[in-house]
Parts: sequence; C-alpha cells; structure tokens
Amino acid sequence: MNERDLFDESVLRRALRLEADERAPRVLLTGLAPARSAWGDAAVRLAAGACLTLAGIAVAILLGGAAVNATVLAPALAADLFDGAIGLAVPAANGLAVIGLFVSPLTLVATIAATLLYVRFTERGADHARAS
Amino acid sequence: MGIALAMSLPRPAMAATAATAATGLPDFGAVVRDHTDLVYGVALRILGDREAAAEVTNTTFLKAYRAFTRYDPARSLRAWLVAIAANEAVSAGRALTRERARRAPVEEADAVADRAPAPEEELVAREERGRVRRAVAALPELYRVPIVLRYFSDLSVEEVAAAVGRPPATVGVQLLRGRALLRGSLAREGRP
Repeated sequence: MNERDLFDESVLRRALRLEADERAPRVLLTGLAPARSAWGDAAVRLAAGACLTLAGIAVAILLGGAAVNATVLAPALAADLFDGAIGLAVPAANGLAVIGLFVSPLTLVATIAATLLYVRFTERGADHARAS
Repeated sequence: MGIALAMSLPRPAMAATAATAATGLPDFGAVVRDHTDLVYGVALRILGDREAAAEVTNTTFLKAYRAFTRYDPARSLRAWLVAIAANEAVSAGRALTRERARRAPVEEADAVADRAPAPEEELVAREERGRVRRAVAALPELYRVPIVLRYFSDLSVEEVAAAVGRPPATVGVQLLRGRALLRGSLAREGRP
C-alpha cells in the first residue's frame, strides 16, 4: 500500500485530539465505593444464599435417604440382632447344661450330709439330757 | 462539565488507597484524575456520542476500580485503562447501534460539533477536524477502534493489539487499511 493512498498520520492525530469544549465529564469517586460495596454485599449475600441452599439440599438428601433406607434396613437389622442373640444363647444353654450335670449330684450329697449331721446332733442332745 | 473530581474519598476508597500504597499500586484517585480525558476521549472518538462516552468513562473507572488490586504494575496503566475503555465503548457502540436501528435516524456526529462563533481560520480548521472525526466515526468498528487507540491514545501497535486481542501484524494492516479508507472517504467529500 502506497503512503500517498493513506490518510496523513499527523492530520489524523490533530483531528482526533479533544477540542476545548470536549472536556471529560465529572467523575465522582464517591460513587465508586458504594457501588463496589453494594457489589461486594450482593456477592456475599449471593454466596451465603448459595451455601445455605446447598446445605439445605444436602440435609434433605441425607434425611430422605435415611428415611427410605430405614424401611429396608430395619427388618434386616432386627433379624441380625435376633441371630446374634440366638448365637449367644445356644452356647450359654449348653454350658449351663454341662454345669447342671455336676451341680445336681453335689446338691444331693450335700443335702444327705446335712440331714445326717442334723440327726446326729439331735440324738447327741437327747443323750446329754438323759444323762444329766 | 469539566474535570472536577471529588477528592474526599469515601472510606472503602481510602482503604483501597492505603492498600495500593502497600502493594505498590498508584493511588486510584490520582489514576482517575490523570486519565479521565484519555478514557473519555477514547470513548468519544469510538462512539461519536458525548452522553454515551460519559457513561463509558464512568463504567471504565468502575471496572478499573474493581479490578485494581489485580492490576499488574509492570504493565502500562495507560494501555490497561485504554483497553478497558475501548472494550466498553465497543460494547456500548453495539448497543447504541441496535437502539438507533429501532428509533428514527439522528445525526449523532453533528452533536459533537461546536456551534460557538470562532475566527474564520479557526472555524475552517475546526470544520476540517470535524470532517475527519466524522469520517473516523463512519469507519467500520474493525478499523475505527485501532485507529482511535493508535492515533488518539498514542498506544504502540503492540499495545493496541493487546487491547483489541488481535495479533500486532493484523493491527498494523488494519491501521493502514483504515487510513486508506479515511483518505478515500474524505477525497470523495472533496478533501485531497
């Protein structure tokens, strides 16, 4: 492209320069801070709202899930507890039966011994009374 | 009208000023004071509408204020602000074009012209500058924005390229093409 085909740069610069009556308008800095503050407050409010909404959704999901799963889990949980109790009770009953094998004869012998001792003390008391 | 800044900064702005002192950033009040004409001029030359340019100026400084803590002091502050202003002006210009398309056509370019009496020579020169500005305003946005950034804001080709997001070589071609279009447009109007 030939320079003669182009518009002169210096003329262009002079033409684009601001005229005396084209002064910039008043820029009020006092308007900037409230705008920023309002923007900041709005951002904080928006973030807080979003957090609350997300937290609410999370809680609702947890509670809903728990409610739904409870109907499925409760019978299974009860069955597990019952099985556990049976599992403990059966060995305990066997143990008690084994202990019972020893306890019954011993009780019988002790009873006989106590009876014999009672009879003997009773007879000795009667003899002593007769002698005196 | 005129540059009349409210220099009593509000508290958040004062805090920002103190923060900028700690981070090595310039005082934002001084930034606004020193660059208002530049930002307004970029917007005015891209849009050709004073009211819209004033709005773009405020929006530019508002955006700059919000992003000021992220501004890299190693970059040219002037180029950074001009880039924001140019983008804002382009967006505003598109909105303005849509708005004008809905309404009856108006002669916006003439709104910039001064109607106060002036000496004859000055009047001729002023009219001449007005014709050039109208020709610039009539350029397609693709050429108008680089022309304004280069010849009004005095940005380098690389800075213009960074501001408009195009490769420097492309911007160089667009500047040449824009000047050629201007010459053709003004030649058709009678200017050699």
